[in-house]
Amino acid sequence: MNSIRTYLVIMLMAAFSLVSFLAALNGYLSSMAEAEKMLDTQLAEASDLLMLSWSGEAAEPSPNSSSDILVFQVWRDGDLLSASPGAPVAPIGDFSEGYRYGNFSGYRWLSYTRLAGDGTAYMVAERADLRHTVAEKVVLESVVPLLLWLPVSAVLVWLLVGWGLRPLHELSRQINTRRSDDLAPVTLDNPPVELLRLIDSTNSLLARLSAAFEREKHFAAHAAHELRTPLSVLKVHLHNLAEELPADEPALIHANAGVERMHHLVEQVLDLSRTNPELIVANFQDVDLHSLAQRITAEAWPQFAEKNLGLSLEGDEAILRGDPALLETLLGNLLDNARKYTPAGGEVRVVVERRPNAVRLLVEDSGPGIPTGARERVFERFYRSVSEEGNGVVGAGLGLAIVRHIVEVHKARIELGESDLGGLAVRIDLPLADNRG
Amino acid sequence: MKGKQYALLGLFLVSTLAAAKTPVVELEIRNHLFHPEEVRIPANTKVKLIVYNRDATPEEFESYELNREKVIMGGRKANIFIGPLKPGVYPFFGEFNPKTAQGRVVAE
Amino acid sequence: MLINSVILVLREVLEAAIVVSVLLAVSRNLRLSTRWLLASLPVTAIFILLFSSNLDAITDAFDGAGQEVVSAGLQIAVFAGIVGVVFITELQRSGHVGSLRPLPLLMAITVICAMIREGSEILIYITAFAASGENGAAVFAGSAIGGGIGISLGVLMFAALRAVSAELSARLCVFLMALIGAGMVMQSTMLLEQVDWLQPGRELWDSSALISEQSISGQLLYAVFGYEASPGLVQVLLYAISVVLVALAWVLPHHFAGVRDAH
Repeated sequence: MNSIRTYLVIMLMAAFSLVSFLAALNGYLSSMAEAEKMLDTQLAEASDLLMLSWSGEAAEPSPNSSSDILVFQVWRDGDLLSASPGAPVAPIGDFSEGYRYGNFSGYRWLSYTRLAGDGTAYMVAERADLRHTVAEKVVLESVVPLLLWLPVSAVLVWLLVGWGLRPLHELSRQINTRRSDDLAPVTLDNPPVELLRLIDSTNSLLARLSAAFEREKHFAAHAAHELRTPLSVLKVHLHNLAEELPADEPALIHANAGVERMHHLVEQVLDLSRTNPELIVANFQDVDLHSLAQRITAEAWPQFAEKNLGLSLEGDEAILRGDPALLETLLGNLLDNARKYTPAGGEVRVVVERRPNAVRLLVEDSGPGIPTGARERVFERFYRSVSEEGNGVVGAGLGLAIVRHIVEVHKARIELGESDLGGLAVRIDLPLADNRG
Repeated sequence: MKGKQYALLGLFLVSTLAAAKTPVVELEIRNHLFHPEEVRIPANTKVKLIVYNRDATPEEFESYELNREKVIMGGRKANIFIGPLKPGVYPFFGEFNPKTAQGRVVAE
Repeated sequence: MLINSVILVLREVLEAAIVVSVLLAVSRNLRLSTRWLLASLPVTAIFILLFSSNLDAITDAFDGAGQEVVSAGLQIAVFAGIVGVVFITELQRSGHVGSLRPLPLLMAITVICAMIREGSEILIYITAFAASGENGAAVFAGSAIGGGIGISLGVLMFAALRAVSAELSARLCVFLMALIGAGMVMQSTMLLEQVDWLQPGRELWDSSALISEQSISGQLLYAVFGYEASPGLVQVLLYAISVVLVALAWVLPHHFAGVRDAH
């Protein structure tokens, strides 16, 4: 019911049929009034004819006397001098000149009386129920088609209204079917005046949105870049300071740890903004996830060894479509997390496994794991579990948020579970097919 | 709900006041004509019209002047009370066949 | 013949169409679903068939007063429905939340009662001529034109009621419902006078010289608020009482709300 088209069609048809029916009625009434006038004149003329043709003989047979549509009588001084066979014996009209309706012989008649100079009354009467029949039939011939053609006009109105609303349909189609990140302006060929303002305001909204996205895209990156420089300067000065102070000066150790943490955070913010799925332009190519994992685990090995952690890689060559730089960041972050949360002497395992439609990357550790209830929230930015606040783990809580960004960019699925090593198992299924976009 | 109660209350009040002696006038519809065509009734008196429809088709007795309308099916009769009326002529007609079914009540 | 069919059908259809379009506008104003109308149509059709096929028995009931008594009952039911709709609507508008639930059913019943008698008369009229054969084309064309004009006027009136502001629309709807309801009561008093259940009282005025009931404007006024050129005392009294009742149903809920707020 709440369709503009249905509403317009119903209203237009109501207005159209109202006006055309009233016009038809008007035409009918004036045609019938015309016909009535003509019929009245004919009746009066019939009485003239009767007066002229009646020669004074009684009961003269008239050629159309057998008709039961028209009857006549001739009266003089209260005597019926002559009558058509169908006429009754009582007077069929008044004894004064003029028209009169009356009932006789089982019908209703309109009579006309013509008074001659000698007082003779010539009365002619016509069946009231039949006199309009012919005229009405003729008028109906022009009224009935109006009714029969009404459905045709309804169909036409339906089509035309639909056609007229096409720009609106086109506009809503354009807005509905566009991708969520497509902020290009809406364009309509030859837009109607009624839609111009809507299109203008939609486009200005889209432009503002696009500018806001652009600012957001660059803000984090710019901020991180700007932070890098003073951070480097700070590092240099700390290094110089270390020359003059004893190596076990507690303030120096704390300052160094703080700068290190800051540096890590800035790098992660940069990564996070780089990997934002709404902004990224990924560089997809064929990647062998296994050799990529080999490289990353080799790079990470020294840090694992330092903490006395075992690090192993299992699996074979597994080619998939992906962005190598992003996948490196992904695995690096996962290894980083595993290293941080697994207590010394533990074990971390990376498995690259080929599956029918995907390549599975599995990173397991023997750490404390993540309780089921917290598994969804660890992907939030700056999320940190309560327990890790205390055990001196350095991190901003951005690692898994970055991982999730990269998973989304690759249209992959990520799942957190329990490992048979006793700790957390991160399973990522990277699809084989190239299904970007 | 209230309107109904008021209407019914008023209805009982006045119908008890109605006098029993009401003149009866009969007329017929035959071949879409009223017989008789003219009904004469006393003025300022309530009158009961009994209209017999002798046709097979239904007819509606209708009069704007008398404020009356009633559908009479084929072969049936209808009771219609009219008046009290001031002296005058009150036309009535059969709404289904108004060309021929014409008549009038003359109150005098 | 055509013009007679037009007038007969128009008169009956217009009255029902106005009731339907006002109630439809009321429920759209209140953002209620209008499914009650769709649901009431088949019920109305069944009642129309029952009414017209049993008109003989109905007419003979109550000592020959059955037709009038049933019709008057239906008209008073329409009036009662209208009073109920106004009351519930205003109760809601004055802040009694959640009081709208009985409204769709009430509207459906009102519309059904408003359409039964009108529909039956049209059905009897058209079937009588369909059987006889002569004048058939004129009767069908006239009925179609009369029905078309009536329904179109109803649709356009609905559009007009929806086009104005919500506040004005609500006021107009109540105003129209008061007129329609009082018109219904007026007609029912005439029917009850016709079978001598009600005494007409003396004639108060005669405005037939000004607006004849036969004229098109007279027919329209009759359909909208039961215009009567020469009404009797009882008719005018009941008409006034009906208008007052609708007005009370309109004002009282707000009065209650005002009293409640004052405490």
